[in-house]
Amino acid sequence: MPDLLPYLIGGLANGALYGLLALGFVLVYRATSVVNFAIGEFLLVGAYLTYTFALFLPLPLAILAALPLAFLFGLLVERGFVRPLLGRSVVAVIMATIGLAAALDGVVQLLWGPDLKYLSGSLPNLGFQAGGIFVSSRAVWNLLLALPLGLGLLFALRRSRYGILVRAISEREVAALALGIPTARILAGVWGISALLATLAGALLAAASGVGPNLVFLGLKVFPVAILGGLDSVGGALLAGLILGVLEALSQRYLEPLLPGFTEALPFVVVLLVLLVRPYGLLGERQIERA
Amino acid sequence: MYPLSKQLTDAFSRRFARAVRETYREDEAYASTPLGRLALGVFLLFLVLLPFLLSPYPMYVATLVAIGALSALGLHLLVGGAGQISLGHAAFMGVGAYTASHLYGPLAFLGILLGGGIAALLGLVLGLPSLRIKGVYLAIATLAFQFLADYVFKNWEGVTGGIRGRTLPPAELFGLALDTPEKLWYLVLFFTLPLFFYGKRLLMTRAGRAFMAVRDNDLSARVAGVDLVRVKLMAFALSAFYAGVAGGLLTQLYKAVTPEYFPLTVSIQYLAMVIVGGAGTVLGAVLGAFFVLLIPEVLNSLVGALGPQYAATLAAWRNVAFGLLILAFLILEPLGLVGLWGRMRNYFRTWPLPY
Repeated sequence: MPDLLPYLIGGLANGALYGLLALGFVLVYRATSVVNFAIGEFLLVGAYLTYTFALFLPLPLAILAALPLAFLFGLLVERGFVRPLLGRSVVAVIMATIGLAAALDGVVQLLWGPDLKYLSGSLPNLGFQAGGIFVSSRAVWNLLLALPLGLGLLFALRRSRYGILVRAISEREVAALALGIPTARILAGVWGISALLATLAGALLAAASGVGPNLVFLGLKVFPVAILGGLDSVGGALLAGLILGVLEALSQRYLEPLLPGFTEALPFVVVLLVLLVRPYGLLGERQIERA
Repeated sequence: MYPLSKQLTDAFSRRFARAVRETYREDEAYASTPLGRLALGVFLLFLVLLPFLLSPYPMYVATLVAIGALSALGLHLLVGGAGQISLGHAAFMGVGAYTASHLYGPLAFLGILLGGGIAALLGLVLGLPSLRIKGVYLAIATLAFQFLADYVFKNWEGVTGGIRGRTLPPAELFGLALDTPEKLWYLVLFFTLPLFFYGKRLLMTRAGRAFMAVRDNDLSARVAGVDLVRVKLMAFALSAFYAGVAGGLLTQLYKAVTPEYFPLTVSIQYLAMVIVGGAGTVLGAVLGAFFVLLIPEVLNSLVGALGPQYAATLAAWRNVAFGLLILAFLILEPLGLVGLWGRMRNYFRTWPLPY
């Protein structure tokens, strides 16, 4: 058992990142029914923004400086690429975010180059030793940021004025417009928040292991997490992120010796199982559109 | 001015406008006007003679485009025809390619067909979730399939050769080795042409109309008597068959097969061909494949002209061009190149009096 705990802690640390990224993804899906295939690129842009600010600012300040820019970036994406496709088919919208992803990939590489970069500063060390178990600073930071943010977002959606407006829009956009809710502005804000959360995840990842174009692949983990938690469930995203992180850690520990490389495929096995058995996920609403 | 323009437009209309179709037979025909039939014949002759007209490198690109167009046509039938999305098209190509890599030499024809068949069977399996889920959920299910296939390609050493992949000797026809792109071109034509005519005919007839009914609204299609299970499974199986055959042909062209040929980005590339070409038409598949596969080639030659210092950023520029192309077509011209062509034709047909 004691040799299992480090794996679990590492898994929870990764899972918190997945959850953070999936929060933004699910929020956007819930409000606008758009599946953002460019979420990995949001994370990439955020990580590189943090890197750029960290060149002349201490890291915590750099992250704080990157967040407003990321918000702005989300707004721009919504204005430029999502709104023109309002009311088009699912296939068209999915392809648009895929196209955006490819273009962003290229632009990021042109701006910052293809090589792996390390941040010049680091976050204050919060690692500690508890009863012979070492908890890394990375794990503490990830959980410390992801859990309150996720729960806070959930609370804001339930209780705050803007949260209720977002839910009203996701319920029925036309009715929301008729009630005088500034739908366009709020949806843009939702995209901004999504980019902001992705940036935070990117910054945490960058602080731990540097910035490179391969960060994008973390974006692919969002789909298993979102499906597992329920595509429209913000709370489910956080929970499923943690679950998937732990599952990956367990697979790393127990399955990897038998099936090398299986951990990479595991999230997608989970996807297929969930879609077969419980397509609305753990906490999603049950009204999935049936064919 | 007016009589002149009227004369010109009338002459243009007589020559290029489609005749009114009066029977189903005419509706199903590959070309409806005498000029159309002539153009089709000339085009087929041109395809047959192509190896004598091009030097080896353009010939290689032409073969690549023909194979790409075949695979893109499969996706067109699924996405543009039946309105189901698939992010796992490259995986089906991979299945076809690995199957074909086991039957080489004189058995190559059989191998390519069998590759298509096995891919089609897997397509049926992947089609099953499409009966329960659709839209976004289906997209993510096919994404999962793509990744699982990738894992299998990389790890089933006995069959796929693992990460190193497999190499194979060229295909043979009556003892004649098809080892150059020129000779391979005829193998490609042998599989591509019938499948293209089949795709065209399919979209023109009852089965294709059923596809489109499902695409536009599957509930009303069902009410109108379309068997949803049958149509969706058939669309997935057909699309996978086209991809499998294309994968097998690709193996013959590359003389090797590794997991790197069939990642997610290739699936996305094929979806881009569908968008750029114009969903749901045979011409769109060809134009889309041509356009998307030529981007890297054009950029390559640009780098050659500008100097080698730009070579490092080539991949990045390719991504930018690729992404912007998809976005531009989606936002500005949803009907794709086919729609663009139609608009241009209408413009000239009514010029200079557009109303």
